[in-house]
Amino acid sequence: MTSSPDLYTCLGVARTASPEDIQLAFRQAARRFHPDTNPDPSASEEFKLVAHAHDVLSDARQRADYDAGAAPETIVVTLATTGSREHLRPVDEPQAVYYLVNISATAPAVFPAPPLNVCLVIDRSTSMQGPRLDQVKAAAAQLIEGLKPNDQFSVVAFSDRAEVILSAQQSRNKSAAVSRVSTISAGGGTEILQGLTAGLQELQNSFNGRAVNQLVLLTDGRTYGDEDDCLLLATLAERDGITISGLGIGDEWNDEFLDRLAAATGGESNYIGSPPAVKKQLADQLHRLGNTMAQHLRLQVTCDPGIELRSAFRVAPNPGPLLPAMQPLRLGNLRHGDTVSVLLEFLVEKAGVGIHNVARLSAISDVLSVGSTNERWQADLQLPVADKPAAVPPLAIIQALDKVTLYHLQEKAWAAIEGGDVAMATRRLERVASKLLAGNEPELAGVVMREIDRVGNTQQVSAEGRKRIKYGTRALIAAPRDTR
Amino acid sequence: MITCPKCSHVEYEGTLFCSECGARLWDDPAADSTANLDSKTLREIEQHTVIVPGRTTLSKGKIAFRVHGTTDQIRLEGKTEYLLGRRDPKHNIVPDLDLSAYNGQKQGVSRRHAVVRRDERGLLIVDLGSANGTGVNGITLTANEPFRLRDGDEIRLGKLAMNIYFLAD
Repeated sequence: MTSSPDLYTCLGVARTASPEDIQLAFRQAARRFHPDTNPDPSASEEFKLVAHAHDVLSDARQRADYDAGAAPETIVVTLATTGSREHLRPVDEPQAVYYLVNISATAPAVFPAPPLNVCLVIDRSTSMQGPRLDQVKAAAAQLIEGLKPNDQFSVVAFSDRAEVILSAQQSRNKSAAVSRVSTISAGGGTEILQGLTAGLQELQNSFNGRAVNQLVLLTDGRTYGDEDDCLLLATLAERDGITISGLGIGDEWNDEFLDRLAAATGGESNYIGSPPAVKKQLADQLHRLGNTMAQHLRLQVTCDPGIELRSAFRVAPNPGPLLPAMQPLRLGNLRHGDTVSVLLEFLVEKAGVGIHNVARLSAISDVLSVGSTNERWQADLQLPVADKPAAVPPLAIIQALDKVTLYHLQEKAWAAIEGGDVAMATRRLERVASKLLAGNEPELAGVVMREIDRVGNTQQVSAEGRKRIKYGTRALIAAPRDTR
Repeated sequence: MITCPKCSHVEYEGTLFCSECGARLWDDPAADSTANLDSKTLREIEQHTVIVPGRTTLSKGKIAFRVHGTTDQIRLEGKTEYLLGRRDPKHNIVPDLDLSAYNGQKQGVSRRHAVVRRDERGLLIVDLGSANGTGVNGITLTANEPFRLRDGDEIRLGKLAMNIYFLAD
């Protein structure tokens, strides 16, 4: 068991700090996080960690033991932060500041690929009949062929009730497994709760703390009346260390619901435009899972008093909005050589003097190779206050924020449509199209133009156009930037 | 608080992009200027992305503009640089091509919108960081970046479109 978080980082002092430094740092940290002064819900947790770090480091013998025993960590997680400004201005009004947080993991030695514990939950409602279900079955068969000896794979099919087609035990015999999957036939309605319940049960049966535990939901429809129960189930799954990802086929499925379902566990949700793309999407997802070093990654943002976290957005991988109210932010898996980027927007109520603390970030994760849970890495965000003009913000922040703003803009257009404000929706879509054209995305701009026409003629948008624009603008966020 | 120059939405100090229109809210002389246009204009841009090949070279340095929907030919000669915009005597802005009479303000033409300049190879146009941008043959120009013009090119200042011609005599 590694000691986590690093006690020196926790107090914000160097390893060479004197006992006086440690006392001073403790008093400062206590002022920031004591629940009496900081209303942030996670402040008391940070305070306990600070108090523990102080207890150990202020006792000479315990400190020596800690320094000697600081076991080499299995993996090293770094939190690199870039702020939108170099300083706050000494003004009496609220100020916005953005941070791009890059979380990455490196292993000291050769990193063994973790085993997978995956359950594929397939929608077999009537509308899946034909190429959709055929392609999904072919994709499942391909996954079965690619399983490694330690992997566990199960398949659940659901309509208005669910059926375990293949248990993890049964997938050991590959040819029998493929023929079992081929028996799935379409028929019935779509009740996602049924499929989720059965799928999570299968994953629990074969649960392994050192494996990547993942449920992949494939659906082409809407579920009615059981959304809240599904979300509750996802929240519980996340606590058990299971991630849910959603793949929507065609245009009828409920994108908002699937987004929220996946986001509750830090998983990804994606749009599959045509049935043949299923195979590649699924294979890609499984391949990525195989590179997982730590799972159940969460980012806890503890704001200092007078600071508000206004919004959070996962920029990469799998861009998508995060809910600041639902802390810690769920970020899914952390893969070898990969970076999880999150864009945070804070509001500083009133800048004081000197150095202004903004927030403490804690990345929390379960490390697969040693089976340890809730490992913690920390970083502090702080800014000096100075009365000088603002510098040009760093390019990384501008590029990320530009695309995220575009994504939010199209979301606001749909909200205006739903609120019956056609003029506002049109104006927002025009701005989206204008920005897309300026950003050299004529194809996506064309899709937006067609929706503007449709709104003008019918006061409605098409389900297909809306999904293409939403997932199209979202994909731009992760796309490599063109350098002009 | 700061106010978006494009749509007047109010944002907190330090905000980088307007949440209502996506416009940039910090000062950066090198950045792109993004035009906010309505869908009709955008559609026209799509229809006009054909490049008109240059025919006449700029031998004598005489040029003429024709605003779309009019037959007037506005001739300019004798200078190496012409300002395109709207007249504003209060601020002592007197453009060589004054578009006030062509409903310039409503069409989104800035007072100091763009400059057309001669060099040894011909003619260049530079958008001066105008509010609604400058386009040539459907391509939106980057502010402060010169763009080479050819005879017959379509120029768009805001929503106001015109052609430029190089005159032989």
